[in-house]
This record gives sequence, structure tokens and C-alpha cells, in this order.
Amino acid sequence: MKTSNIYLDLFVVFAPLSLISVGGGQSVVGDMHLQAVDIYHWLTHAQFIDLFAISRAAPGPGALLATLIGWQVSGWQGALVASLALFGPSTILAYFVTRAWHKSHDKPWTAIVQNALTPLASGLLLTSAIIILRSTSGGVTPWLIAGVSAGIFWRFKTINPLPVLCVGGLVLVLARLWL
Amino acid sequence: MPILAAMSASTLTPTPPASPTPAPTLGLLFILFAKIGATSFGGGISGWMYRDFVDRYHFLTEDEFMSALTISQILPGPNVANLALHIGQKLRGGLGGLVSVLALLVPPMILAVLLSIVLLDLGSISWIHDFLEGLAASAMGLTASVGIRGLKRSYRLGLWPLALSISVFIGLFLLKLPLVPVILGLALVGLVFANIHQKRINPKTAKPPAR
Repeated sequence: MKTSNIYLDLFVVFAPLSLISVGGGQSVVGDMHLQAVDIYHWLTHAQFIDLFAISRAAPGPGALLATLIGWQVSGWQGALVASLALFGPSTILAYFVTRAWHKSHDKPWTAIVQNALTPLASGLLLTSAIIILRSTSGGVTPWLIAGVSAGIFWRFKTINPLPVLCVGGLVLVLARLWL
Repeated sequence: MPILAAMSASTLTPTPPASPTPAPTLGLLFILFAKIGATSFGGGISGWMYRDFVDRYHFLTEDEFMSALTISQILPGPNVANLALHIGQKLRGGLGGLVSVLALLVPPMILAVLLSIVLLDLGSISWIHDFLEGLAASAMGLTASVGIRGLKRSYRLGLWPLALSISVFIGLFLLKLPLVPVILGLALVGLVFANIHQKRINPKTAKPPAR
């Protein structure tokens, strides 16, 4: 569905992904790669890998990969169009679902639903942590860093995470230098 | 003993009231989400939100947050955006939701582009890569700590919540099943158990009044 308008192309690629991507960005990264590299030739494979790594390390959601692709394709306007396409449709849908949820929120079954959903959230959080740790480039050090960090965040509830994260980064740099 | 009474009263005043925390202003919502969006290097955003909205400001209870997180995961789209929308909408209505999503997304969008301009030039320097990876590993520790907190909290209901959490891991990680059917199916199982639990602790609401 290539058109002559680059912005329309960006929108046509990312808007459907917004409504297809379920359970985090992981599932759509493969499709973004297919579209941006193989179909539209916006990026080379190596460029895509670089942008993917940056979107993971940068603050904010990993889905900002779409913003970065849009920016590579046609600057700030491209970044804006791609972002709107990826975040817009799903946010509009979530708005209506959330509104319905909050309207029924004072009903007596709210406690039951929350008791049923909390263990699923715990499982999702731990699973996603393990999946991402397994995708790091090998060795036990990232796992140790994650374990010690988890202990710190468990013990100190309101500590500012950023210094802890920076120490985690430094530890891995030093570990890879010396080990 | 009036002196003692006065003393205990004065030591009590600085502690914040336990239950009804007033909803934040739109400005505070914006600041909190923008701060999370701009500083959450390496991911783990839901952990950041948990610390601010549950632990620091008590705008949400732990159960409210965890339910919102599960719903955000089931809905399509980037789930941290869905979670920010849910929290903002709960605290300040539709406008609150919009402010929260924009605050969470716009600062890191600008930062990510700037970072990519810098890093695509420096990408060959390997210690930068290592630093970012260590940062992400630490952020996953933050994510995991919230998950463990949730495990501990639902353990008060019995062993079935633990079995549900482990089932999520088995389904998604070991069996690599798609997320939505797994979570919807397990949510049904969870509803059955939560319902039984509710009837056991509070039989009055479950049974019609005996006459």
C-alpha cells in the first residue's frame, strides 16, 4: 500500500500496529522491522537494530521506536506522525474501556475483580523482567545487577530509582572491563 | 495528664492522614508523569509509576494499581500509555487521562530523538552499550520488585493467587502462548477463586438472609 505521500505511508504502517500490538511492544517489533526495512526500505537492517537498542535504553516506553523510525524517515514531522499513529488509536480505545471500568467501580464486585487481577499483574511483571534480562548479551552480571536492584527497591520503598539505575550501568561497564 | 495528651497530639499532627488522599491537581499529574517519562532510562516504567502513585502519594491502593496494570496489558497499544491514561482518568477524569499520557510520552520522545542523534555517532564505543544494558538490568530489578510486592500481597488470600502468577509465567515464558488468551483465561479462573474467597470471608453478601 505504498502511496506517494511519506506521511500517509507512516500513518498507514503504524496506525494498524497500534490496535494489533497487545501485551507490550515486543509483539510488533518484528512487524515494524518487516515494514520499515523490507517493504518500504526506510532503513537498513543495521540502522533498525541501532534504533531498537536506543528505544530500549532511552527513557519512556519502548514503543518510542516508532517515533525514532518516523524521525529517520522525515525528521520531526515524521516523528510526530508516526507517534500519533502508534499511540493515538489505542489510547482512544483505552479511554472508552477505562471510562466504563471507572463507572462500575463502586460496585461490590470490584474487590473480587481486583483480587483476581492482582496475581496476574505480578506474574506479568516478573515474566517481562525475565524476558528482557534473558535478551541481554549474556553472562550472569545483568542478572546479579537486577537481583541486587530488586532487593534495594524492595527495601527502600521511596528511593529515587535513577541513581540506583546509574550504579547498575556503571557496575556492568566495570564488570565487562575487568572480568 | 494534659501534657502527655498535648505531646502525643503534636507528634501525631505531622503524619499524613491515612485514608482519603485528595486527588492531585492536573499540574501535579503532569509533573509526576513527565518526570517518569523523562527519567525512566532502561524501561521499568510501571515500577516508577507504582513508587510515585502508590508508595509516595497514596493516590491509588496497591490493588487498584495492579488491576489497572492487568487491564492495560490486555488492551491493545503500548501498555504504559494505557496505564497512564487509566490512572489520570481515575484521578482527574478524561482531561486528566489526556494530560497524563502526553506528559508520559512527549518528553521521552524528544529525548529519544536527541539521544539517537548522539548515540548513532558514538555507537561504536562499547562501554556506552554496556552502561545502557546495566541500566536496563537494574530497571528490570525495579519491575521485579513490584511483582514480588504483589505476590506477597495476594498471598494473604491463600495459595491460589500464587498459582495464578506462576501460570502466567508458564504460559507466556515457557509455553510462549499469546498474551491475551492466557490472561483472559486466567482472569476467569481468578474470578472463580476470588468469588469463593469472598463468600468464605463474608457469607452475608453471598447468601440470602436466613429467616
